[in-house]
Amino acid sequence: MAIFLALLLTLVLGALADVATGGVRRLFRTPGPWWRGVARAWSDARLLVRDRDRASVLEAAGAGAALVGATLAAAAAAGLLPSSAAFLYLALALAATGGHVAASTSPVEAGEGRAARARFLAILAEPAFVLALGVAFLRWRASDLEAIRGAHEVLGPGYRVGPGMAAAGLVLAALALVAAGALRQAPEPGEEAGSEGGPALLVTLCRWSLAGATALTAAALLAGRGLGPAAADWPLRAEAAPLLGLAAAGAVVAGLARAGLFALPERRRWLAAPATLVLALAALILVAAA
Amino acid sequence: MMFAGDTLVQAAALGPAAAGVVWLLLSPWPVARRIGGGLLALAAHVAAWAVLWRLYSGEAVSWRGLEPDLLRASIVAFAQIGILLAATRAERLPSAGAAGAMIALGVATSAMTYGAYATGLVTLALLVPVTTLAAAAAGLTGSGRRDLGGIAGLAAADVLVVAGLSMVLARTGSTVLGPAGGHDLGTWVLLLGAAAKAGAIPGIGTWRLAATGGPGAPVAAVIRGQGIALLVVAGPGIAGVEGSVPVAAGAALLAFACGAAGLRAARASGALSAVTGVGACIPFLALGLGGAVGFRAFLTAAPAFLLAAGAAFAVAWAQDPPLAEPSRPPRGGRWLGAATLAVAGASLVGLPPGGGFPGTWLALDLAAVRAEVDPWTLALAGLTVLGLLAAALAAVPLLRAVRPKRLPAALAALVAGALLYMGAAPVRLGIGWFIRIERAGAVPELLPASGAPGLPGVPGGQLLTALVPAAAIVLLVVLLGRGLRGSGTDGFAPLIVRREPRGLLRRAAELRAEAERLFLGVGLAMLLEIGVIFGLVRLVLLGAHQGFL
Repeated sequence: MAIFLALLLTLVLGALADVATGGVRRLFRTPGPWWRGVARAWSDARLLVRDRDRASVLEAAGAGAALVGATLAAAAAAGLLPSSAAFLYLALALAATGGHVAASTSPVEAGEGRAARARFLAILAEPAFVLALGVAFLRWRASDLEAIRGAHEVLGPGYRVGPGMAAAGLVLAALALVAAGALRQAPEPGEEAGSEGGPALLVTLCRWSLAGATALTAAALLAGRGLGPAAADWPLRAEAAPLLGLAAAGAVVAGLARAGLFALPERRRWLAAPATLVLALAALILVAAA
Repeated sequence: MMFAGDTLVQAAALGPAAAGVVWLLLSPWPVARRIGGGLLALAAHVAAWAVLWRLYSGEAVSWRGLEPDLLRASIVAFAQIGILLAATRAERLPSAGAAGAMIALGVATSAMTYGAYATGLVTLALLVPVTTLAAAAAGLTGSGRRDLGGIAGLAAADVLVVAGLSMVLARTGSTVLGPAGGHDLGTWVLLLGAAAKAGAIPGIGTWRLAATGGPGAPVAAVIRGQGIALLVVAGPGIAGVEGSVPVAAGAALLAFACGAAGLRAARASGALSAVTGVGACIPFLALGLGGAVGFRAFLTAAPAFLLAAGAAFAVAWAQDPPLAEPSRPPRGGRWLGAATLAVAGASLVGLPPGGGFPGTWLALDLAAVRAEVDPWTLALAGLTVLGLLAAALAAVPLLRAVRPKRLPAALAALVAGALLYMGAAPVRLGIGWFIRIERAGAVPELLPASGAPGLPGVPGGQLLTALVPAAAIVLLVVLLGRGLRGSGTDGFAPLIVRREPRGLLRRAAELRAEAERLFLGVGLAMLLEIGVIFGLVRLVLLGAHQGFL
């Protein structure tokens, strides 16, 4: 039950990220409502049932792999599974790769192009993602979330534990992690005919699960008192609130990063990757200097 | 006991060559050659497992200069699975190519097995170039000069291996392979040769050979096995499990380079070589990090690499348009092939729950733990994971390009199933094997209080629990759509579409084509192999002074 809840949490957080993206795009007068990400998923589900716009085996398998990866990462971040840095990374890598596999067999040509560009952007963003994750662990001189949770238990949330430069470095690392995570996602479904229904719904679920799992991981690094098997059962207990609040904030940051990406012209979107790398490098300098 | 130990060793070492010869003799009759050659090859493979089982049970098994230890016998058995899978593809090549590939596979497998079982350094060295020569001979039966790709690199790897073994002999003064304590120039040179043979160096040796569509490519499965066997010799066999910073750093850099090369892959074969190459780097990284945990990571990663590389080759080799087999297999075969490739690919890049996951996880976790004291090891882990993810994403378009035949797909799917089990329950599967090899290798005991990472990273039950909700959601989507649709897309779409080369790059491409036309690569390989022969003569003379003859 607790692990199932972890997956649901990632999906809700991912939907929140999409809403944040829609909100910012609406602010900048992009046509469409702010809830368009969630509304699109609903219309895809309706098309799936009504018109039998079905997914292919590869899309289903890719989505399955992505959801497993996100579940493992979210459960590790919440303290339900062993949670070393290597395990967290590999689980998040599975979530990202699975999403790109699901998006790779788009029924329309434009979708294939989008998928290839998204894969390329994901690769460009990976150094920033790896560096940010490494810096967050380096801050605590630990390789395991369990040790970091212990430090939080004794000293308090990571963003409050001094020296100030180290705390600032940790916050920057978490921001870079979430922003780079947003660039690793599979592409949004297009508007053209044929890129709707089951395949689009599965890719959306992949994106949501990855965004949610990344936000939960960043939250665990910042204030990682895990949910624990008992606290993670429904209804959630009060001690889970700080972690979930931070994860929700992380999801919003991911949504903002995604909106920033869409604000760039198509040919300049790769610039987002070096921008997140600069953020991660700044975090490294702060943590190392402290 | 039905068979004596020496009979089993003979059968395992010489059986593959006999199977190749029988296949060649019966080649005019397709059914007869499959039955005759296939049965002999299977018998030799069963013998290799029987040798492993005898050693596992604590019996000594030997024949003349062959006295394998459990680790090297295991590498042979796992490598032979990949070779049998490659044989199912080689067997279906056009007639001359098939004959060349099958006899080369048999002879090379015997040389690889004989070398891995050998206790003598000189015997091992004498057998090193045989696999390269077999691949070259097979390539010559193909239809184009491109079928000989990678031969020069493999010949250079032979030079390195023979030179490395000579240095080891000069240092230890003994022709018997045994622990000499620590890495030196000889082991590093030997490891570089092993890396080229394992396919871990982009664009060189086995990497290029496996990317060709000709009859030499299946021999790459044998050469990969030889590369891992040489890694065992140079690592735990000679240097022990102390670890080496240059080896770990080299493996991390190679993993990164493999990922980068995967991104540039314009064809399916390039992406396949990249994903296999990055998988080959993990055992090197594990041994480079060293210690009890590094050695355990190696033990977990190496068999999974050999199996996954074999399965991936069986379903995804020769899928580029000019090379693809003409008939389209039924849809079920395609999906089986794609699923198998997905599991094998996940194993090679260390993603859960593939068979390579526990070893990759343990090696990366070890690097992260070491980073608490030496932060630079975090950079090694970072480089490695960047290579892993780049290779994984570069291989994504491969999944929709696979069009395997039923038999290779079905056999590779069985191996993929085994890989999933290895990924989910590595300790249950291998604990007895780990302990026996670690005891024989005098690996230091680890106190639990030291805080070192250990297997399993995540118990199989928990992995399974995570599968259930994900599968439930996907199943719901499938049920809502009342089934699945056909793919509709086909072929390999490269991640980076390369422009036509201009200026110097164009000139370089023309020069390369001209070199291929004039067989310069083969000429260079011949020269290098002549150098190898001189090196071997010198080694035999040196060995003679130490009592080899």
